[in-house]
Amino acid sequence: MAAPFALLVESPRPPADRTPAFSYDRARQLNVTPTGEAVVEAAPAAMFGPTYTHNSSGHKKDDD
Amino acid sequence: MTLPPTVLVVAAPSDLSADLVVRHLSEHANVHRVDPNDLVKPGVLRMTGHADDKPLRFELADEHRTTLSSAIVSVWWWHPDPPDGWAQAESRAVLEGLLYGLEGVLWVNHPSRAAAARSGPTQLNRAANLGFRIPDTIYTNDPREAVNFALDHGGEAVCKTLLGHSERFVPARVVTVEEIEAERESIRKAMHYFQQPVQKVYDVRLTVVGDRLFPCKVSSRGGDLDWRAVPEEELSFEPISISLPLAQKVRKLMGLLGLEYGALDFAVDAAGTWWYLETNPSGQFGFVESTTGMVISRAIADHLVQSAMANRVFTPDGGHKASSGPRKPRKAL
Repeated sequence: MAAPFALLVESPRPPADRTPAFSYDRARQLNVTPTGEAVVEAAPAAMFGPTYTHNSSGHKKDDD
Repeated sequence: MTLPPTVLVVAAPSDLSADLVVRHLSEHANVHRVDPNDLVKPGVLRMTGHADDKPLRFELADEHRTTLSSAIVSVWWWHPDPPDGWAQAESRAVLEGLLYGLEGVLWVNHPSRAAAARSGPTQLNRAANLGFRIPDTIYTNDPREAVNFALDHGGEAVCKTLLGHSERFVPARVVTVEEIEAERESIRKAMHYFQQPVQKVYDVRLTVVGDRLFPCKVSSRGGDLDWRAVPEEELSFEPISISLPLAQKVRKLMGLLGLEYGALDFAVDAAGTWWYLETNPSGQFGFVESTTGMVISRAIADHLVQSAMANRVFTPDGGHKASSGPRKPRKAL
């Protein structure tokens, strides 16, 4: 039996997320690294590429 | 009672794009960031609302801050996690019901407007009527129609979906008449979205915040159809310019769709024609900002504060109120 959308195929898995471990700081309302720095301040911009364009499952999320 | 103007941010706690905006907002406004799912965690996010013959009002409080509804000047609704289970769904419904009752508040974007404006036939139709160049498009579950459409366009069509799969990434792809013929039974099982292939040389992601436009050229080494499926290292992003007539059309479209924020996708051909593909009412901006240096997060923060405050008057006791009643949806220029 043909499944719906058989014309479409899943994309190869994108690169692994390179973002450092972080947790949410409720007082600052920002995510922080284990050393307490805001992730958006502490991590090099290059590290954000995969984070912004992929969700936690590793898939692109530009059009959520 | 003094009510400092407050921007309410509704977002998932782990959202780093929200961090970018909150960081800018915190420089010149009161910000209260909430995760709706915290309403079911005892004591974490406390909320009480009143519905009677007086104006709708509520109070939101957590360990660090308290916000009265009358202090809220704008709401940034940015990808809150979906509710999980009855308690979260009920709590979300009450929260939304109270927020929707706010008067004179700027929404970026209002969820109901964003839902109505989402990508699809109506959006394409509105864009075409404004003079955007759009690829021929059909939506069908009839394989004969799909075959005829592809035959009309050189034996090929782009097959894509309006909704993303919840667990997998399924990019758009070019399919041939032969492939369509071979999957006739599959096509009968769901509505399919086919578009005329555009002979593009690059893509453009155009992020719009209020009246400000941030066009970004997206190039892939292999000229791939769907750049979202391309590994990061094979993509390049760079700021480009947009013509004034097209910028005016974009602002008109945003007004028609009732959006304060949007991420528009275009395919640009060798003649320089920008083919409109879609508008994502809540498309991501972080990857554009981090790769081009265009500070979209500051524009969002500025819009949430400055545009929201533009229709406010301040009273001698330090309070404020909307000067011209509830904010109306953006009008087409």
